[in-house]
Amino acid sequence: MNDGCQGCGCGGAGASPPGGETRRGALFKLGAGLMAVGGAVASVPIFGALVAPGFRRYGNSWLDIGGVADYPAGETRLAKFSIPGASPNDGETATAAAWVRSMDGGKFQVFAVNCAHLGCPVKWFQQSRLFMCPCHGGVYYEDGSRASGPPPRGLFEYEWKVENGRLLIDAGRLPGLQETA
Amino acid sequence: MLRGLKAIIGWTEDRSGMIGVVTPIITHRVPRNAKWWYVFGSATLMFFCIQLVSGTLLATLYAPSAADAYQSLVYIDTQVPMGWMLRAIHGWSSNAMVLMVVVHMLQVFLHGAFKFPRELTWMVGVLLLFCTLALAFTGQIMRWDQDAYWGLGIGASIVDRVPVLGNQLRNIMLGGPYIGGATLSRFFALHVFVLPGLTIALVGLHLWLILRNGVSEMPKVGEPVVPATYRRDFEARTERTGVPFFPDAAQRDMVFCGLALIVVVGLAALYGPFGPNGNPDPTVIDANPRPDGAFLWIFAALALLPAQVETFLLLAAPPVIVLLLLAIPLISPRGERAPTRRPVSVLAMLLVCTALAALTWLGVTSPWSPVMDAWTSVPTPVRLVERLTPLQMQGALVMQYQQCRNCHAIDGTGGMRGPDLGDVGSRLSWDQLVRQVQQGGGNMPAYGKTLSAAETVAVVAFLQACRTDGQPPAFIPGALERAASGDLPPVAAPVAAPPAAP
Amino acid sequence: MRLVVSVVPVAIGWGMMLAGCDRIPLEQPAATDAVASWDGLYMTQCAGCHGADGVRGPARPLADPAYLATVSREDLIRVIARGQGTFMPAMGTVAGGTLADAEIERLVDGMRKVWGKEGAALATPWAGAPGSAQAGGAVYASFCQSCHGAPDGRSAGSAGSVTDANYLRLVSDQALRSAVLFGRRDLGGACNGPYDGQPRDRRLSAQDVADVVAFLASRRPESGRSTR
Repeated sequence: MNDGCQGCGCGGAGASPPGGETRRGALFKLGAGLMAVGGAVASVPIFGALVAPGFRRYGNSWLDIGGVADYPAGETRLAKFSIPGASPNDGETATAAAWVRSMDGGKFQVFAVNCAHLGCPVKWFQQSRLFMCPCHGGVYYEDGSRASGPPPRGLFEYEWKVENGRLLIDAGRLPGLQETA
Repeated sequence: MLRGLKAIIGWTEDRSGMIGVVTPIITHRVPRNAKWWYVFGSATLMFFCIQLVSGTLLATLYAPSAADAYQSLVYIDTQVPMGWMLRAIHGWSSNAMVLMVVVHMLQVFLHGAFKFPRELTWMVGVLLLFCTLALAFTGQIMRWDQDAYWGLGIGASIVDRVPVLGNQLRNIMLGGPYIGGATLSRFFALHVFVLPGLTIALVGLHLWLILRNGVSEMPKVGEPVVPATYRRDFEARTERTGVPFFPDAAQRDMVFCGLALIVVVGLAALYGPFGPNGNPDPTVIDANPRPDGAFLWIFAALALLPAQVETFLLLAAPPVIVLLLLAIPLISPRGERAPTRRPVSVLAMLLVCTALAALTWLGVTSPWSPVMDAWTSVPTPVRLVERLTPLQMQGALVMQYQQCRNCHAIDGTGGMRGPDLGDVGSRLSWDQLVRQVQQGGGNMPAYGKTLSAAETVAVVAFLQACRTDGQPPAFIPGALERAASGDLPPVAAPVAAPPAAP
Repeated sequence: MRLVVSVVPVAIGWGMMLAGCDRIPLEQPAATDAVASWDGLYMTQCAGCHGADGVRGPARPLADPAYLATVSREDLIRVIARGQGTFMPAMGTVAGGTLADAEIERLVDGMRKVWGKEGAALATPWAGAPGSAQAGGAVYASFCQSCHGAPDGRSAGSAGSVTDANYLRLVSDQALRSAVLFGRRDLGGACNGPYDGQPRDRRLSAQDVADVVAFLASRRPESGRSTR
């Protein structure tokens, strides 16, 4: 682009006198340079907004998912919660769910509902103590470890802690193989 | 009056020159033998035009916000006069466009029409194929129902597998760390601005290339493409024997397009719009996400890929497929065009078609998916219930209670993930059944920790009773003799239950 | 003629739209939040164990007027919602299941309306404490043994053993009592019970029922019941 006018339709190269040629060449270079600078400046906000989510750090946020008493020991229940900092037009998608396994001695395991294979929602079956995925048939044991099917690993687990009798989990991001909840 | 009209046309033509530009284009000479084989490209273009018109109208009714999209679709379906029909036509025409683009491509490949000098036409066509598929996929997301939500989840999970940058790319795709309003807005922009714009530009280029290089003739055996002489020979032949595109060749396009349009409108009127299926509520766990027809083969492939190579294939296959399709005319730019002289190409095409059809069929039936409510909804076959002992009856209850039926059919009803157990009693011996139930294996979870000893005995007793009439239970060689000597209970006893382990 | 062919469909289309009739009768809009009917609930939630028509499944038949009339509505609702400690799962949302209270009530009312019958209730109540195991042994010998075999397993009966240790480990006393009370007439079994249609001299008294349940319960091994 900077090398000359060929193919750019920017000037009648053959017909111009030598002096004009140089002047036009310099003017062309100036124009191209200004366009490049202006374009680069303008592209920062234009494409910055597009790719910003890839560079932002989405920090931890402890979410209250109910009282400890809501999760009887020995059972696995579905917890529903709202994603913090959701945008006003998220609607229902600003909510999310997790499977809470309550064990004896006040211990918990909190699993993402998203299958470790490709993210479909796994369902807990109290009777066989298995999680099953409706998409490609991934199955997990009650401790979240892989039982059968295509998943490459067990269910994703959220960090949890108990404060003042409330169960808190560290959630808000869609789990994935590189985003271990 | 007629004179007035002529004057207006004459004035307009004098100032614009449009008729002078357009007339040679629509009357350009095409080979005489370009007959019914050549209608599919026109049909694709027609359906694309219908998509542009119906899509623009839908955009006047649709609310592209995650909070309102679903309700706006319900409103279009139920409240807007003929709104359901508008959605139905957009949906059915989208499927028709995908179908036509594929058929058009197969025809061009079969007849070797991608060879010199039409290589670039093919390449632009390949890009148009992917634009069409991208429009179909993003269109499914516009429906903003459960299928859309979890379909995005699958897409995000695939992108997340990209090494190093996967998480960043995933968040760029979703517009944040989770699927939400930003995601729908991104895909809305893709579906209504970026992709249609790109497609219009590529269609223009595609048509320009057709005009520049001419419509190919039907292939003839013994008339290979020789780049050095092809253009001269082709132009001479077309000049001598060709017919004007309009109206001679276009009449077939018009007949086919008219029929195709009537079929699509009829299907839309009879079967109505696609979806929306269920609120996109991430806390509703009972979703059973399925992709639209054009993507069922991918859904099937994702279930069947071996785990060790899955990530590699997921990420490597798409670029390889695109590059391979783009490269076809570069691999074979000259030579015979007739299918009978290109056995490898034709066989490869048939292979790909068969594989796609088979995968799509598997995607429809999805035998690998557990039937999530089979345990409460699929009854134990009456032929078995009628002859069960009380213990075996309890075993049949264990089968249902433990969700075995979600993956196992009995006499053809129930999940298809595991084998049908209607005759398992004559295939596996008591010991083999116990081992399989307790330890699992072969893609079955182990039930050893879940079942009590009595439950194991009951379910195995039931499984042993799962036989067709007259079939004896399976036994390990030598077991009959041991049974006769009193080490094991006799085969024919109604309760063939060895004492349970404590 | 050509004009007619092209104008007529368009006119019909616009006419329909202006008349507010914009839908071909075939295609009705799907009700967005349809309330599931009781039989729809039954087919998806119950048919797996209780049989497609309420009979001939591995679990107790529910299309049994005597059963539906003898067990109270409240008991049926409670058992469906919270389970029985047997292979009857807790289906109610209160106990981790999927059925809302209103759905359970609709299910019970539907079953009682369609399958139930006024006045079909047994004189013997559905629930009750076990009686004397010793007396129950005699009841078993005279009423049950011919089909279910000797309690020591020496003679097998045509209907299969109910004194088998593993069977007894899996069923509750209430399940035994229900089996004695209502039998499995849907399977063609002529099980003795206190219900109508049984010859008067072959009917079990309330005391007989309690005793034979106590007898069967006493045969259960020391380790006890092993369901959840």
